[in-house]
Amino acid sequence: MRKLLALLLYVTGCLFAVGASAAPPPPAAVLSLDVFVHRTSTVTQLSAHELEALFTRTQTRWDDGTPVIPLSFAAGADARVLFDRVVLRLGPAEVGRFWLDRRIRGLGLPPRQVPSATLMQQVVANLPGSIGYAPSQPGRTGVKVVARIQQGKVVAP
Amino acid sequence: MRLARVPLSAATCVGLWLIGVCPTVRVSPASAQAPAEPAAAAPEDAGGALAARLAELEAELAAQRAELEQLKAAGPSAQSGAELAALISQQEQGGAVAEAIDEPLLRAYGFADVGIQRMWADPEIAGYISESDKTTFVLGNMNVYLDAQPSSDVRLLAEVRFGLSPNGAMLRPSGGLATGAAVDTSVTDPSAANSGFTSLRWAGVVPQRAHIDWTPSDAFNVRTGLFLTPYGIWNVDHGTPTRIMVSEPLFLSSQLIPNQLIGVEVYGTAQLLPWTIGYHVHVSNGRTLGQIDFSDSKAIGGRVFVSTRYPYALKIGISGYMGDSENIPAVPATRRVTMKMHEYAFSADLSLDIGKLRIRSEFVASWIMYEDGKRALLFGLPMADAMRIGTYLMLAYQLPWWGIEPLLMCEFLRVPVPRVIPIGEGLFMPAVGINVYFTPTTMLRTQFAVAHGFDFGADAIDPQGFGYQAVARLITAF
Repeated sequence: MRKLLALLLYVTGCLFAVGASAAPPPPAAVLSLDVFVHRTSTVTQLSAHELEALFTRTQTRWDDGTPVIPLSFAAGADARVLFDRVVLRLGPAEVGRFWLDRRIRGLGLPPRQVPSATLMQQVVANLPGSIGYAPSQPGRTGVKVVARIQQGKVVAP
Repeated sequence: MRLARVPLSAATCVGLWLIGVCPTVRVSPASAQAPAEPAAAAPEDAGGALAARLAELEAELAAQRAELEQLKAAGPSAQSGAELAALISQQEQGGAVAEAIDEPLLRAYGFADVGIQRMWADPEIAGYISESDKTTFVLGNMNVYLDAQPSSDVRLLAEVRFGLSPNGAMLRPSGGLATGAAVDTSVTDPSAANSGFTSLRWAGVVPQRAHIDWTPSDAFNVRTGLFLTPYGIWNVDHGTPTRIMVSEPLFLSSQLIPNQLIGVEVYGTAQLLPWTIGYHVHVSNGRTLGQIDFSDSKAIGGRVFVSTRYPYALKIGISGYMGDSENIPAVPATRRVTMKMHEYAFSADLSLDIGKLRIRSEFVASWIMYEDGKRALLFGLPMADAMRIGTYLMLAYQLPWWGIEPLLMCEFLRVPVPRVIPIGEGLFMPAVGINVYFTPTTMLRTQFAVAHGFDFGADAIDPQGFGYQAVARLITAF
C-alpha cells in the first residue's frame, strides 16, 4: 500500500511539474537566406549536408586546414530559426538542447552569435575562415555567397 | 587637470577604509589630494613652478578658444561632416566587428542538479545497501567546466564536480561494498569570530576530466591528461542535463570499463556525408587504485563509430579496453604486489532518434582474471575470475505537450560476488520515468525502478528480496 502511495505521489508530482513548462515558439518570418564565406575562401558552393557539418561543428577545418568559424544569430532571431530548421532540422527548443548536449559532452560550444545581419557580413568579410548567413539581399560585397536557403531548402547560389 | 590612475591593491583599500572610519584622524584638503607627499615636506620653490605651468595652460586654452570661435564663424562644412560621420561609423563598426570576432580566453559553464529520493528494500537485502531507505533531499552534482583555447590548435578543458562528499559517505575500499560508519568531516572553524563555537563540514571536489588537446585537424587530434573513457553513450553523455534517465546504468556505476583514464588519447573524424566516421585510441594507466600506475604495462583501448543526422540521428559504435590493475600496500623496506588482475572488455552501443522517439542501448562485457595468489578480497573471501555483463535498452518519447517525455528503461547486470550476498550473480532492473523540459536548459527528471537479483550459475542460490527506488532531480545548465 505504501509503495502504491509513493507511486501515486510520484505521478502527481510529475503532473504538477507539467504546468510550468514552456509553450512552443512561433514560426520564423524570414523567407530566404544567403550563406556566405570570406572572399578569399576557395569554397564556391556548399550542400545542405556540408552546411550541417560546419554549423554543428562536426567539421572544424576547411579543406586547406583553416579553422572553420561558424557565426550565427541569437536564439529566437527569425534568420536563426529558419536556418536551424532547414540546415540542422531542429526547432528552437531542440537546437537549444542539441548545443547543451554537446557542451556537457565536452564537444565544444555553439557558433559565436552576431547581433545583426549588417555586422554578420562585416565580420565574415574581415575574418578568414568564417562562415555566416543573413537574409537574402543582392550585391553583397566583401564576402562570397556559397549557398542560399529558399523555400525551406538549401540551393546553389 | 588630469589625474593619474592608481591601481587599488587590497592594502590600499584597507588603508583608505581605515582613514575613512577612524574618528581620530583629521585629513586636511592638501593631504587628501596628495597623501603620499605631506604638505610640510614640499620644497619652497614648488609654488613658483606650478604658477608658471598654470600660466602656460591658460595661454594654451585661450588659443584653443580662439580657434573654436573661428570654426563657428565659418559655419558647418558638409564635406568635413560627412567625412567625420563616415570615420565615426567606421570606427564604431570596426569596434563591433572586433568585439564579435574576439574570443574570451576562458569560458566557464556547467550544470547542477538537486532532488529528492527514496529507497525501499526487502529486509533480506536491505543490510547490503548503503543508501538511506528514508525520504531524503540530496544535492546531486554541481559541475563547473573551464574551457580555454589559448590558440586555434590547443584547447584545455577541465571539469570539476563540487559536492558535499566525503561528509556522510561510507568507505568503500577497492570499490567493493560500502561498510562501516559514515565519514564525519566536521572540524572547527579557526577563522570564526565566536571563540570556537563554529564548526565546518569540509567537502571535496572531484575532478571529472582535465585534459589538453592538440587539434591540428579533424582527422587527427591528441589529448593528454585525465579524460572520460570514450566508450558507449552514457559515459560520454556524462552530465545529468544530457543523460535521459536520471540514474546511470548499473554497468557504469560498477565500472565494467573504467569511467576515467589518465593517459594519452588520439581521436578524429572523417566526413563521408551525410555520415561521419570517428575513432579514438588511448594508452593509459588503466584501472588504478590511486592515480598512478604500479606497473610498466599500460592499458590500451579504442573506439570506432559511425553517425549521421539524416534521415534520422543515428550513432553506432564499438569499443574495446585491455589493461591490468595491481596494488602495492605500504610495507616498509619492500614493495610487494598483493593484488593483480588482467581485464579485457568489449562494448557496443546504438543511439537512434526517430522523430520524437529516442532509443538508446548499450552492451558491455568484461573479463577479469586474477594472478594466482593475488586475488582481490571481499569480506575476506577471494574473488573468482569472472565475466561481467551489463546492458540496457531505453525508449523515451517526447510528447507534443509541455515538454513531457515519458520513458522506459530495462537493464541487466551480471557481476558475480561471493555467495554470502543473497542477491545472486546479478540484477534485473526495469524502470519507468517522466522527464519534463521546462526550457532547453532546465528540466525535471524522475524515475521509479525495481531491482531483483537472479542467478543462473551451476551453484545457483535463490535471490532474495526486491529493491525499489524513486528518484527526482531538478536540473539546470548554465
